[in-house]
Amino acid sequence: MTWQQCQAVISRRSELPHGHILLGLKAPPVAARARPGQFLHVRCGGDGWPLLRRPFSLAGILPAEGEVELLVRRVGKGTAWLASQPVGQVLDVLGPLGNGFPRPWQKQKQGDLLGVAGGVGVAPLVPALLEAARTGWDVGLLLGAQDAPGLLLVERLRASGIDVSTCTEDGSYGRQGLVTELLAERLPGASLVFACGPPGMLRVVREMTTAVECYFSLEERMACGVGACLGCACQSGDGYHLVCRDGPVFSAREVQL
Amino acid sequence: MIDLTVDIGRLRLKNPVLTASGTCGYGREYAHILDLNQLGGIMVKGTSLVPWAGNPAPRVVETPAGMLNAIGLQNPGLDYFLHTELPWLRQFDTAVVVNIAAHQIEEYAELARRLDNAAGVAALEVNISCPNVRQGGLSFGSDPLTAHRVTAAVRQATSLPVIVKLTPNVTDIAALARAVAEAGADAVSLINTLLGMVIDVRARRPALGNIVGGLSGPAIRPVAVRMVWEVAGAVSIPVIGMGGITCAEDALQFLMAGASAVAIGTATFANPRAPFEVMKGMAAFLQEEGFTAVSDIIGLARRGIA
Ligand SMILES: Cc1cc2nc3c(=O)[nH]c(=O)nc-3n(C[C@H](O)[C@H](O)[C@H](O)COP(=O)(O)OP(=O)(O)OC[C@H]3O[C@@H](n4cnc5c(N)ncnc54)[C@H](O)[C@@H]3O)c2cc1C
Ligand SMILES: Cc1cc2nc3c(=O)[nH]c(=O)nc-3n(C[C@H](O)[C@H](O)[C@H](O)COP(=O)(O)O)c2cc1C
Ligand code: FES
Repeated sequence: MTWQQCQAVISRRSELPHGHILLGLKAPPVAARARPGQFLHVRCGGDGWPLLRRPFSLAGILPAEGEVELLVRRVGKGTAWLASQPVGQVLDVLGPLGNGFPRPWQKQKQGDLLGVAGGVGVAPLVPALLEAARTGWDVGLLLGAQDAPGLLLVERLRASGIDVSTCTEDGSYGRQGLVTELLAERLPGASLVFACGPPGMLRVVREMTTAVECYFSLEERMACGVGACLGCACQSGDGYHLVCRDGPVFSAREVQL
Repeated sequence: MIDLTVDIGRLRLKNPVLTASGTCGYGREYAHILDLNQLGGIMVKGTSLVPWAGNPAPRVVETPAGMLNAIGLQNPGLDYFLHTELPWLRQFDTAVVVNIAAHQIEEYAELARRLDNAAGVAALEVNISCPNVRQGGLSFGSDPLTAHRVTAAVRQATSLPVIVKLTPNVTDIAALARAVAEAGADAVSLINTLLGMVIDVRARRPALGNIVGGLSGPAIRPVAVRMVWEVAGAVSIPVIGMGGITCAEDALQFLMAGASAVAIGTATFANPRAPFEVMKGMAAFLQEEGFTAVSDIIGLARRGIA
């Protein structure tokens, strides 16, 4: 199954705290084929500027509606442009791209999936968590953020039956501390862990999950997004993997952080 | 009907638009949305005798109207190319130009020898921007004498058309072009990337893992057009121009400066159909302006000047 270049129309947008924005995109060819953990490579800017596309994880996959969702954090030119586009704006996207998460719930009736995310890192986990929960798996999410408003999409995930535990660095909501401290308590019982966040967090998660299967969604600077430029390398035991083509999801033990 | 064919020495291309080395892999990634049969040729990723691992991340960073890359010529090596990529490429009716990379002159010659009899290879493009291990990593392309030696060694080792790819990181690119033409090159291609650097001030260190990288994209186009102009005036062998081409008008600048063909690189990352659109737009321009053959506009801007 391969990617396409297609038009995606912004169907809805909502402002979330700390400059985050949730975009609904009408893009039936993408929505029909996307798997949890895949991403879109989006042209951000009308007149060839910025030059390169920007990668965003699929934070929602809604095949029945022909829609996908992106959770965008404004950090620079491209994300500022994307976050300021109105409903109805047509975007030029490549996708769905990347490998996506493994989906053992398609074969195994029961299991216990645990997501671990920091901030906007929750985005790629959402479709995987929702899909696993729908098939009857026990699904939990450990979400960490700087402060209470930084805990994104919590209500939505709880409404779908996901057991969300939160912590904040300033203690303004949930427990005060790091998400990896929650992991120490919640890990027994989990059969599968998916994590996305800063490299420091992922390193700790890896150390803690030696006895359980664990997958990371990684980020790296990208140019082509499709495996042609070899720009998005991440080191593994036997040379380099490409985050856009071999990833962005990797087994925790397969990559160096 | 506009005649789009061009001749690069003994190599005839069905149209003057190719993909630039390293920006289109071995063609696989884009083949389902960019019909390779519609292109004049594909210049494949730089290929070395043995696999090269490449540089640590980050390998790319965006710059104003361009990007820096420090891929480090990661590639799976010649054997993999011959056994896996080349047979796949043979299905297309397009010129497969194999870009070769090496750290020693003998390696360039060995690559040329082994590709000489490979069915489906239309020409070699010799990347002389690679660091020369015997000269402390200085690029082969940075001095005319070494460039001459590499070219002569490759020339002796193959009967395929030899295109030597020039680096812009020199004071006098015309002198380089003359040296490789003398050594028997059938054509030159230019420009490779311009050496550059970005510092991430928040991280307080260079943005690229390799510290420096090669600048490509629209930012380098005026430099590339100027260098094509100089080289086309200095040598009589054909020139393949590249550097920042995004649309037909950009490509036409190179042809009018004296290039016989062009290659599209960085633009493909933003717009995977850019090579095809350049080709179509070029044909439309020729039609509009009343030309019957693309060869009629090669060097057109030089008339009465040089
Ligand atoms: C596979 C993948 C999935 C991603 N998913 C999401 C997502 O769901 N939501 C989201 O908000 N972001 C996501 N990102 C990160 C997003 O692509 C970058 O934030 C974006 O490209 C920045 O573009 P810009 O023009 O706004 O920033 P720029 O102006 O290019 O840079 C501004 C700042 O952002 C940093 N930055 C730039 N690119 C990246 C990058 N790729 N990763 C980390 N930092 C970067 C720069 O160092 C700089 O400090 C993802 C990245 C990858 C590789
Ligand atoms: C990511 C990337 C990888 C490249 N790899 C190679 C290579 O392997 N061999 C080579 O001769 N040139 C390589 N180049 C240089 C291009 O072929 C081309 O000369 C240059 O990028 C200028 O054209 P552009 O501005 O259209 O990209 C590479 C360029 C980029 C951006
Ligand atoms: S971004 Fe080009 S290979 Fe991954």
